[in-house]
Order: sequence, then C-alpha cells, then structure tokens
Amino acid sequence: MNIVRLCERTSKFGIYIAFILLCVVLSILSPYFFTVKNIVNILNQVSIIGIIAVGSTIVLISGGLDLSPGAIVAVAGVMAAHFGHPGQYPIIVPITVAVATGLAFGAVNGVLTSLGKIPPFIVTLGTMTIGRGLALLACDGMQVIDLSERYISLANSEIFGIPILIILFALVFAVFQFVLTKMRFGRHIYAVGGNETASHVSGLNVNSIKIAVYMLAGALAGFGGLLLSSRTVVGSPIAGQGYELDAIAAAVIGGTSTTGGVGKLTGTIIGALMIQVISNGLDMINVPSYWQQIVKGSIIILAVFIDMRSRNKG
Amino acid sequence: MKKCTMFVMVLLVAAVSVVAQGQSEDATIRVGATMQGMNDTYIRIVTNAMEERAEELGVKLSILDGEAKAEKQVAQVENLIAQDVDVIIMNPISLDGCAPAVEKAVKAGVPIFTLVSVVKNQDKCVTYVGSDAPESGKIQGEMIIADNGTSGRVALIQGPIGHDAQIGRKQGLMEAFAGTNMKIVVEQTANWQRDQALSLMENWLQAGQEFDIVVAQNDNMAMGALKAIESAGLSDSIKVYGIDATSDAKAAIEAGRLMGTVFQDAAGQGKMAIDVAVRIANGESVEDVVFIPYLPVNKSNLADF
Repeated sequence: MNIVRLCERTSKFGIYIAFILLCVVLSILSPYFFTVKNIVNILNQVSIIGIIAVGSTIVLISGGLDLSPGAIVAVAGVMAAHFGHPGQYPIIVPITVAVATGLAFGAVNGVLTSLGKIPPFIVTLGTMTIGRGLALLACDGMQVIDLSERYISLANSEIFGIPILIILFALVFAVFQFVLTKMRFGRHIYAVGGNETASHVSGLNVNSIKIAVYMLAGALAGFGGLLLSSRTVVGSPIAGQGYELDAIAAAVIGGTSTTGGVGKLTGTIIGALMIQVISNGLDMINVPSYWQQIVKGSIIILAVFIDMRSRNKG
Repeated sequence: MKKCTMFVMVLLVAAVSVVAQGQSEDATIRVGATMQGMNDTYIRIVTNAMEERAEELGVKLSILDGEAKAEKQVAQVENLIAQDVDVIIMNPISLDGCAPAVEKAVKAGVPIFTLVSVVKNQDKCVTYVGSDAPESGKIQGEMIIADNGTSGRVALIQGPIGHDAQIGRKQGLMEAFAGTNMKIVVEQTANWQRDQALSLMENWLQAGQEFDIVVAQNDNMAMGALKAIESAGLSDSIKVYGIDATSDAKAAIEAGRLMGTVFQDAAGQGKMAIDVAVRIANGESVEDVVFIPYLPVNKSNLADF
C-alpha cells in the first residue's frame, strides 16, 4: 500500500506515476520492453489512435462527445484508397478526400448537436452507424487493395530514422497544444465546455465553436483513417473497430472530464500510451488472450483510481 | 396534427401489408436467410453468389444481416417464420446462441438448414451446407509440413478466441502437427483484423520471439503479420501461411511473399445453399451434410484459383 500512499503525496501527477510504475513492472518482466527499438515501436503503434484521441479530447473539453471516429476511420480509409491506386491521382487527392470525409462527418455532428440541440451521444451514435454502413457501401463490402507506393509510404516511411507516424503525431499534438493553450479559440473551447450559458451571455458564438470542434475532430479521424489504410496497405470497411472508445478512454484516463471544461492533451497522450503499453507489454510477456483483457481492464481502473486519489488528497 | 400523422402511418402500414399479402399468393419459392455479419468480406462473397443463383432460378430470396449478434439472428428467424417463407437458411454466428432459432423454425414447421457454420442442435436442421472448419486448419498444417519438413517453431495468430472457426482451425492444425516436431512457441488472437496482427507481430519481433513459421487463421491477419515481418527485414527467415485465398493474399503468393493459403469456396457455398433450398422446397430429400471441399493454394497451383 506504500505505493498508493506515495502517489497520493504527489498531487496531480498520479497518472504519470501510474504510467511509470507500469513501465517499470513491464521492464522487469521483459528484457525487451525498455529498449530504444521497442519504445519507437510503441510510439509508432500509438500514433494513429493518438491523433484521433486529440480530436476526442477537444470534443470532450467543449462539453461534447464523439462516438463516430472509428466509423470515420473506415469511411475515410476506403474513400482515400479508391483514389490511391498506382498511377491515377497525385497523392494530395487521397489525402484531401480522407480529410474532407472527416470534415463532412464532423460538420454533421456539430450542426446537429449545436443547432439541432440533439444530445451528442445520440447524434454521434447515429453518424457512427451511418458511417459503418457508408464504409461498406463505398466498397461493396470488399477491401480496397492495390495501393500506390507513394500512398503506402504515407504511414510507412522514415524521416531521419524516425517513423513518419510518430512525426505526424507529434505535429498534430504540437499544433493542437498551441491552439488549446495559446490561442483565443482554445480558451473559448474550455469556456463553452465549462459553462455554455455563461459563454453565450458573454458574447461567444457557442454554436460555431462547437461545430468547429466537431469538424476538427472529424478531420483528425479522417486523417487517421488515411494513415491506417496506408499502414495496413488496404482500405478496409471494418477498420477502426472500437477506436472511438480507445480514443475516449485515452482522454479520460489522461484526466479529461466527461462533463466538459477540463482536460489536457498531455494527459491524453499518457492515456493513449498507457493503453498501448499495456497491450504491447502483454504481447511481449505472452499473456494468454483471456487474461489480456482482464489485465487490461484492471490496469486502466487502477491507474485512474491512483490518479483520482492523488487529486483529491493533493 | 399528431393524430393526422398517426392516421397516415396506419394507412401506410395497412397498404404495405396488403401489397405484401398479394405477393405471397404466387407459387415462387420464397427463401429467407440470416447471415452472421455482412461486413465480412467472406460472407459478402457467399451472399453475392446466393443472390446470383436465386436470380437464375427465379427464387425470391431475402437476406438479413445478423450483425454478429446471436439474439438478432434468432429474432430474424422469428420474423422469417412470421413471413411464412418456404425455407430458412441460417449462417449462425454462435454455436449455442443461435440454437433457439432452430427450435422455433422446427416448431413452426418451416425447414431450416445451416450454412458455412453450424449450431449445437444441428440434428434438428435439415442439413448443413459448407465446409468442415478443422479441415482447413489440417490442410494448412499439411501444406506447412510439405514445405518445411516435420520440425519448426510456429507462431500462431488466431481468430477471436471462442469463435467456432478459431477452435476448429486450431484443432485441425494440431491434428496435422501431431507426431511431428512442429512446436507452437507463441500464440495470440488478432480477432481476424489486419491492424491487430500487424501490431502483434511487431511486438513479438521486438520481444525477440524466435520462430520460423507464422500460421494465421485467416489471410487478413497473415497479410498484417507479413507486413511487420517485411518491415523488420526478416522475410527470408520467416514463412507466413493464411486461410481464405483472398485476392490480395493470392497476389502475395504470386509475388512469393506469402507461402500458402487455403481456398474455401465461398461462392460455391452460396450457390449450393440456394440449390439445396430449392430441393427442400420441392420436397426432395437432402443428405445430412453437403460438403464443399477446401483446397490448398500455393505458387504451384495459383493459376487454378
């Protein structure tokens, strides 16, 4: 119980400490865990879900909820792959198609939740279901194969020895961290999520802020879908299954409030890493499949428990 | 206003049911099918072939998507019984979960048979059209022994644990490996998913797991694992095998990247399902199982598929 008490004393760093503890335990259990190669491996694997989780975080901060990213990943991936066959279109076309698909979904989510005043859970549950159907429709249920070298390199190349996915994730993080902490728009997102009525009274255009947030989240999911189709070398209508929950879990484990107004992207990164490290670590020490899920769920609850205890006492 | 809308809706429902009644008068054979999940590529090939064959034979076919939920499939069978179809085809997602649907059809006197996968109370079904899941694993295992001899270290990537095909394919593989020195050194599920198999293989290679052969229970996962192996520059020392003979897997065999796969005749199963349904509707007798065989696929016979 000393560990818990130690964590309690270190207020607001609870989740970081839980994360470090997890890494220490895994390093002891597997000699291959804490190696440069594996750290690069984990970062590479976390990048796509991390990019999507950035979007989920800003939606949560704005007081919303987005269940559609996983479906957007599938639609955007399939649509982009249609334009990604060798020798047809320049690479900018599939990229634009993927991001535009995400933007369109985000716009629908944003407009229906803000102007339509339909609860976000319902709206995005609807667009998630529609998206899953559209993804199948867009390719008649068949995977889109035969992608160009350039398309495949989008998620599979390296720059100065660093996998490009990690660089893209870092860029997305940096841009959105800047927006959230340094720009007026970022502060408005927190304000709208913290107290919508007060934001409205004080002259903020709450609806357009909400729509913009959903569109950004949609664009990130669309981009994530493009990258996933490139990484797996196929546009699959069933890609991104459950990604929406992983993305929300990453945000919430990282301290983002589900009721809006509170959250940090740094926390989301730790949350996403936590989920990834657990599955990487459990694969490495070859934990049987049945146990993986039990251990995964338990670690997540334990980590948030440590985090909450440390916040309350601190 | 609300009353008015209600009235219109009631009228519409009445109109639709009158039209539906009219349709059921004629003598065409009406077949209802519930499939385990239409977002699966394999099942799509089966249903496409079913639709094509039904069209050819003038059979009125309605195919329902079970969305991978047993309770949904049971409800769909109930609905098909209520619609008074002549024959019900069920491609069950679950051995146990879909069994009540068979009971209901039997009770209502509607002939029902299974397609591609089976149910626990299979004896109450008229027949089973499909393949024998363990056989594909066995053929995969025999192909591996033919290529690599009788000893090797195997990494096994499985479907969702507890899924009938996962259990059957592993059982068949173990049968083929019995009495040899083929050892499964590491095994895990990737839930039929390519991205999960890719990450899993990256993690194994990173962990220094050593193996010579990767057995994936479907081609989708085989292709994901292959990608990780090629990225790690290990394609010369690790051979990958799948099941399904999807188009990209066949292209990979052609290019010498994938060593082999097992062909399950999806279109043949779909076509046969409709033929069997017609025979049942016409009162002909049908054997207890109608097997569509699996075939091994590698570079030498690729042109046949």
